[in-house]
Amino acid sequence: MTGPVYILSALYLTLLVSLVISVLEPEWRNKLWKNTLRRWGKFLGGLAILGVIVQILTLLA
Amino acid sequence: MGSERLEPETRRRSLDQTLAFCALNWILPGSGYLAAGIRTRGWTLFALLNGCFLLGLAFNGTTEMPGLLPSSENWNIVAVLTFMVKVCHGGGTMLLLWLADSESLLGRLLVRDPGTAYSDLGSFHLLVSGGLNYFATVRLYDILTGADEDELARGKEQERTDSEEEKAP
Repeated sequence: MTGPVYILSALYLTLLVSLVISVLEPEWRNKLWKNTLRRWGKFLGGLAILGVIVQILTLLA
Repeated sequence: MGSERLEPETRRRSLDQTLAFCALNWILPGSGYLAAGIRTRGWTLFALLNGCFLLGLAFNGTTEMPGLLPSSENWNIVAVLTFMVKVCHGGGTMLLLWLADSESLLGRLLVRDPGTAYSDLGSFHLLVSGGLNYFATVRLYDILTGADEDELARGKEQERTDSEEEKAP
């Protein structure tokens, strides 16, 4: 059960960070969800790339 | 034109008032916004940041005071930086530290065992909550000192200059 909890937490925390940053923008009511989802996607994409790099380095070690 | 409109409740405050609202927001995330009359944003931040903190406690997250001086035995730069970010959720972190050795009902309820399965994950939720509250508090300072309006005015000025330059032969 540990793995899914960590994955769900990663999804929740990245969404939270994206949402709070969008809420703190000057004109936050405009396109709030569009901006949040765009940021969330970039954030998850970055994390996925980091995960792949770590996995490759682990295999090479 | 709607995109250029500021929140109607937003207005410039004196420095003393601004610092007081920021301190309030540091102690309890979202409360500084609410006290300043910025309601929608305040309630949103209140729910998001305190919800994350409570979820961290539900995962048995803990906060411990690290050795703050390099000369102390348990000094660790990562622990010190982590603690500094957690302290940005001022009220929650101070409450946890204050209750650390308490045998009271509240102490038993809020202070968790750091050795349990999800304790690290819970502590990370406390860290994220603190880090985001730092940004929320700094943003509140900008809003109440009028940096928003200045920023928008500079942006409009830049747009006007750019469009004039484009039109020029």
